[in-house]
Amino acid sequence: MRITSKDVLHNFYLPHFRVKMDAIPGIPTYFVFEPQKTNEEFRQQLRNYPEYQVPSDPKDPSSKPKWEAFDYELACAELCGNSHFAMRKTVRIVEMEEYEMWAAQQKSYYLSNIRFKDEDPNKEKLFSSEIETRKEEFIELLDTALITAKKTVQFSYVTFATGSEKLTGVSRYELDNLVEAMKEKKGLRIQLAGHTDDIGEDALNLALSQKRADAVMKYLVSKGVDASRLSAKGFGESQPVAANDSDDNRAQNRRTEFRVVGQ
Amino acid sequence: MAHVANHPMTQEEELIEKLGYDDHFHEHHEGDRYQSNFINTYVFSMDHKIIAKQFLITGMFWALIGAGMSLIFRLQLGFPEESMAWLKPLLGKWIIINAETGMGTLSQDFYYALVTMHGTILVFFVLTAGLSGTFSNLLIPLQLGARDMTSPFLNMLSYWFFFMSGLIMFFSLFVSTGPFSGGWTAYPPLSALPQASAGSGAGMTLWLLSLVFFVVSVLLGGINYITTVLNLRTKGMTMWRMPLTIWAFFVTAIIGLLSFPVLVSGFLLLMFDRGMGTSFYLSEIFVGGQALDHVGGSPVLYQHLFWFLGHPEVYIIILPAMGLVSEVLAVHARKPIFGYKAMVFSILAIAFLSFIVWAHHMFMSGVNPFISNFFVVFTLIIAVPSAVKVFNWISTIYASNFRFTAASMFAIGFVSMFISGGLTGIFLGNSAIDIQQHDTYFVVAHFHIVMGVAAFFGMFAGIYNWFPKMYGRFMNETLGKIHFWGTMIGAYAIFWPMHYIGMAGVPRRYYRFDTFASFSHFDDLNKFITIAAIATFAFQVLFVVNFFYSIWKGKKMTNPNPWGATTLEWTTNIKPVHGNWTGKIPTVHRWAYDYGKDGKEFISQITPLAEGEVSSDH
Repeated sequence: MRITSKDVLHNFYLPHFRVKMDAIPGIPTYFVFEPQKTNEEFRQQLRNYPEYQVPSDPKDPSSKPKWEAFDYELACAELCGNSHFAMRKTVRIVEMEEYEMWAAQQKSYYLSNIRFKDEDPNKEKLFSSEIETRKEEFIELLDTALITAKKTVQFSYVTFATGSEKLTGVSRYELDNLVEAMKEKKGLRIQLAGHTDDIGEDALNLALSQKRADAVMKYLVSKGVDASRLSAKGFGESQPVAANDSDDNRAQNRRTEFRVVGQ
Repeated sequence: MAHVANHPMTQEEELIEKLGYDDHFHEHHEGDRYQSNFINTYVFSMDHKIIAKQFLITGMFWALIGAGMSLIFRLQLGFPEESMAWLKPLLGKWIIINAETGMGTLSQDFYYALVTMHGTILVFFVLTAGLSGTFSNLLIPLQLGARDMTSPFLNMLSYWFFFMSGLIMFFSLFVSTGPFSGGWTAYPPLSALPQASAGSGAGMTLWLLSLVFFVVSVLLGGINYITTVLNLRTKGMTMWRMPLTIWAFFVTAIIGLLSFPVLVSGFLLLMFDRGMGTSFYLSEIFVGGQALDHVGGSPVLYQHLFWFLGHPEVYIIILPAMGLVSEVLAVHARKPIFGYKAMVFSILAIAFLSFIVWAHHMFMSGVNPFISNFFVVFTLIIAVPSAVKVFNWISTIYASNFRFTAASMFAIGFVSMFISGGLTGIFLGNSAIDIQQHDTYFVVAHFHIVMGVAAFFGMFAGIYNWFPKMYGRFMNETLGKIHFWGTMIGAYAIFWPMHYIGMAGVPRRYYRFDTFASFSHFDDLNKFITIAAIATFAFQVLFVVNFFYSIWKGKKMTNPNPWGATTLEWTTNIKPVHGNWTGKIPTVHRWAYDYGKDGKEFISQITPLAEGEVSSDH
């Protein structure tokens, strides 16, 4: 159990488990303990006692009996201001499987709220697990494209700085996957295609999309792919995949693709 | 100077006249400017006896306020559903009246302020200044055969700094945001961030200011006590002939001198954090979702600095009480104190150990559990000198012809309380058991019994015993005994049940318990404790009435040595003059505990050894 505080001193206190440890701003503390009974098991045990048969709310005779309303409690045991006495949370102890199912669905605060945002110090690079997943994703996209008629793959993660042809840091990971695939499949030849949304002048968009396709090609060449296997073409706003009527749709239209022209 | 009293000389006076040391004091000081009018006799007095009374009466004033506060928050805890509207005239806006039902509830902010002030007042103003200040001042010069303290002027300053400190604290009760409300330990960040709670603003500023003044008072007093004991002992009063009271006051002053400055430095850093943007105790704090600029400090650092005083402080409180009790028990048992040297060495051992146990207050504060081992060991070792003392007190009164007076009964009560409270200390001193007990009512019960009630008992024993010395009259014995039994039974009735509540895990410093199913089933016990507290308080009112009544109307003292004690304070006039002895100062020829020796009931320290008598000195 890792314990921390964001304002004043608190104390993480689980009276039923004899667990107590201060929560200190700036200094995470921890407490290791092993609960033995789930809430449900403990309720069943309490059920045997007559004093737990009474309604949990003495003012409401139809409320759940005390044993059924039982929960493990979390209290604060370090004076922390005037609501100190009311810092109540309940604790659920569950079976390992239930916990694991729950845990599998949880995303860390960092991944769900901070990753790739401006305040993320790592937004320009990927962690090894992310590289791994994205590689698998890319290979699947490519393999699917090779057996369909359209033979087009849209890059999922290739992006540019706004209004320029400068590739963002994280784009290279996907392009590296393409480089690897092209080194493996010697016969593969592709045409890179840049697309924009409808904001701005047509001619400028066309030029930008061309520059962007060229930038991708340049990157691939720099990584050792023979330029003769590549070509690059900008399409501007001429081939939208969605109506340019909302921010989301426009985002879909701003994209970089490649089409397999020979294998 | 010759003998000037207009009554026949007592045996003591003859001995002093014959063997005393003539320091020509009265030739220099008779009718001197130090005691020429009301102001310099009773207000800005430099006479240690008057200063002792000032400390005592100021301490009593604060004790009534502090105990009164505890009654208000006990009402809240015992009877949370009852209206407190009747307290509105006293507490004003801190009682919130529900417009529909007319029900008055105590404000949460003020509840915590009451708890905080109760602790601060009782620990510092009552049991440090009121106890040590009173009896160190009264007894050190008198029992050592000194004319006064080494520096009567610093001694006077000591009292007036204490007075100022109290005045500031008193003001803080009336500021609109309320007095400080973050607990007497004033842990940051709660105490460091004015926005953290209502009392953390002006209330906390005044609190800090008040306590800095207080520490100045303690240090001025302490320097005086130490130098007086070391330098102003009369001829023949070797260290090993000093009564145990003096040993206790002496060592107490040393502890205070070594530990209070650490508290002030801790407070200084806290003031910097509050006012100057430093981050000694603050790190990674968010207020309203916004991160503060403070980074890199540690709130735990404050706890170390605080408890480096805070733990010795409990010995600053209890050692004087132990000294008083040792003396009172020996005098009223009419037997020498058992194991005098062991008593002295146990005082010294306790004093030494008191400096290396402070982190036992911090087992749950996130300190390294392996560090806790060290503090557990030394904490438990304190039980050894404490047990030596208890054994010696019991041996002193064992098989004695014990004289049951209010004073001696309170001294026995002290031993009882010290044992009960000391035993629970052994539980709390174990870091593993402390996980459950930390910050619960078990702790509240423990320290109230062992240093609150016990120290009060020592203080009462001292007051009843030395009241005749202070005022030349006796306190009413019957009322004193009623006071004793009421307090003895009352105190156990208040604090005994708290052990059970605490063992069940109920945390302290809760405004009410009904938010938690785990803590809400002790309503009846809480009611009982509150009723016991009110009753016990009533007995203290009885004491105060007895005290002030007796100052003017008490039975007059006719025998200058009413208890038949051996120590020097009883060889003065019934009302000792400025300079304590009218003529020469007495010289000392034996230790302080010659009771029942050679068929005599007691032999005063000023009596030379009889021919062929073997000295009982150590």
